[in-house]
Amino acid sequence: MNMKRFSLILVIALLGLLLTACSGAGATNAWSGALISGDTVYYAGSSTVYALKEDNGNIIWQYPEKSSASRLFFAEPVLAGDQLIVGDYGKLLTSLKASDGTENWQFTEAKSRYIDSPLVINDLIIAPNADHNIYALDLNGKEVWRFTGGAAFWTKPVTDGVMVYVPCMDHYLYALDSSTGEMKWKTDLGASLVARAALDENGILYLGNLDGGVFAVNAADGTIAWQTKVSGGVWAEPVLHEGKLYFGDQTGNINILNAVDGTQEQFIQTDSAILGRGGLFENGIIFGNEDGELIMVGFTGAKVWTRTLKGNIYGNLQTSGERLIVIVNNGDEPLVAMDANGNQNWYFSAK
Amino acid sequence: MWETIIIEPFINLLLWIYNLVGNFGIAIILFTTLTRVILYPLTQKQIKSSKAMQELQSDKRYIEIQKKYANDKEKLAQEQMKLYQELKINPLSSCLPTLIQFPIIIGLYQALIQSLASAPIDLLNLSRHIYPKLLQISEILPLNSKFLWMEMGQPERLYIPGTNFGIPVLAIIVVITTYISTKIITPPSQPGTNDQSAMMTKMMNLYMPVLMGWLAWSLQSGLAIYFVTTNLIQIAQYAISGNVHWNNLLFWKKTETPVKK
Repeated sequence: MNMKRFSLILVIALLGLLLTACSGAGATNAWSGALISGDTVYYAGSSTVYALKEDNGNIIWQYPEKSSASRLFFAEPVLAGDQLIVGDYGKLLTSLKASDGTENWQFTEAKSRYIDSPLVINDLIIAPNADHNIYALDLNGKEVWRFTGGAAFWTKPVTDGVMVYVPCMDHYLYALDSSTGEMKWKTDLGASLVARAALDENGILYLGNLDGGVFAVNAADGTIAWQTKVSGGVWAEPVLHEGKLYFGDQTGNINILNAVDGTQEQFIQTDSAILGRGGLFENGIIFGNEDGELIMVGFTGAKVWTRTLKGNIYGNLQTSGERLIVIVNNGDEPLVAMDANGNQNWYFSAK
Repeated sequence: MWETIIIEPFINLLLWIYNLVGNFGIAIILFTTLTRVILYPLTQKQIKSSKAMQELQSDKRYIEIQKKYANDKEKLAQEQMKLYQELKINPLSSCLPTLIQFPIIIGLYQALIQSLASAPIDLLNLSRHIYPKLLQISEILPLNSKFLWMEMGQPERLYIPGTNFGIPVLAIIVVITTYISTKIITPPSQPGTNDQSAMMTKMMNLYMPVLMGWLAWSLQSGLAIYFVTTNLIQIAQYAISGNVHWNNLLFWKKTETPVKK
């Protein structure tokens, strides 16, 4: 091949790469999730799922053996007995043996991404997918029912043991019979829903939308008990504690609302967007923001402490006992393990 | 800076059109058409300059200079420059409009990708780019990104009923339209002109459609719609200007341009 021809091919290949880079393909355009279970942390770390030791972050196993650019894992893994269920951006829902990471089965019927985790209820795995479907599978990965909504499902459902409640991008909150998938009611909440709902013991669902609307919905019939508005879009479910709702919004406020009537009791300003769920501890709730700040807010509404990590905190904070797991985007330490006082114990990086 | 001046206005215009028509595929077609129409004066200038350069290559004096100073590059450049000045041709004026268009086309491309928002951080960025006085997030989202059989945020495949085999129809259309659009705007080769540059053009005409087809096959189908629309508009714009070389598509027919005396 002569030099000119080679140069031309090189220029065209570079142009292709440039356009691919401009499209964002291959870039990390989501945030990872983790799950703490006993002495193991399961971490959906983009191209690989890891099982890590909870006390030091050492790798127990990792999946798959060969990572692929099209199969990215971001949704928090969930446990179904001895199975670990992971959804990916390559349209696959995979069951792994939680003890060693070997593959049990794969569900291949979805046509789009699994943005959030599935819900496990009564031997059923209920998985939301961006292809506008909710898939219910048995523990062998066989489809039991599917429900089609008006747009993508980006959100893990919540359940009372009988019904599942699923927020959807089409503005509706759906209530489905968990055993049949039959819709009992749907309620229009005014804007796209990417935040999970929180359900209290009185059968009230609390959730916010991308326009900053916050709602309390009766799980029995879908009627709205109260609604209010906060200053920015809501991306995660509120933490319920002693009759109050604690949640962040896209403007960086930590909102504290009365769960009975939705009145705003207090808000605490931080400098950047809070998109993940707060982590609940005995002496307060910790929130992470886009600037990498961790802020613990006491139950009186006062800041207890703040720490700063290098990178962006977008995902839900995971807690178990005194352990806090923080997922950090665009930093050198993608998964950081801390204690309830914000002291770093270890971090995990695949590098 | 780039985001504020180029990307944000493009995103808002694209989504404003989407808000009017209610379908993202149609919005992409209208948006691409609108931007190409706005850029038409530049395109026309480029076509005129290219034509002048093409006519120059068949000029007897130009060919003589090429032959005479084939082994003296410096002298060749000087003589060419004299001829440009005499005929009042600016060799840069054919590529200047392309250079001006390039950032706009890249911006258009990025606006498309960001508007599709098929992952959380994309959606977060999109919500930040929207002008609240022009558009409401509650009205725009969710985007109706289905167009014909395609999902604009996913690579396109037409599945044969009962099988898992998907045909990349749009990628094939992109390859064909790119091939046609590059082929018919390429002036026919002339006797005496540089063989190497003719070969480069020939290779470009072959590799570009393959590259564009590969992008259409692997990236979001919204982009493939953009590629097809751009190709068709380019063909139309060249046809309006009377600069289409349809004979180039007849690969068995060799065409030559007569040399001007």
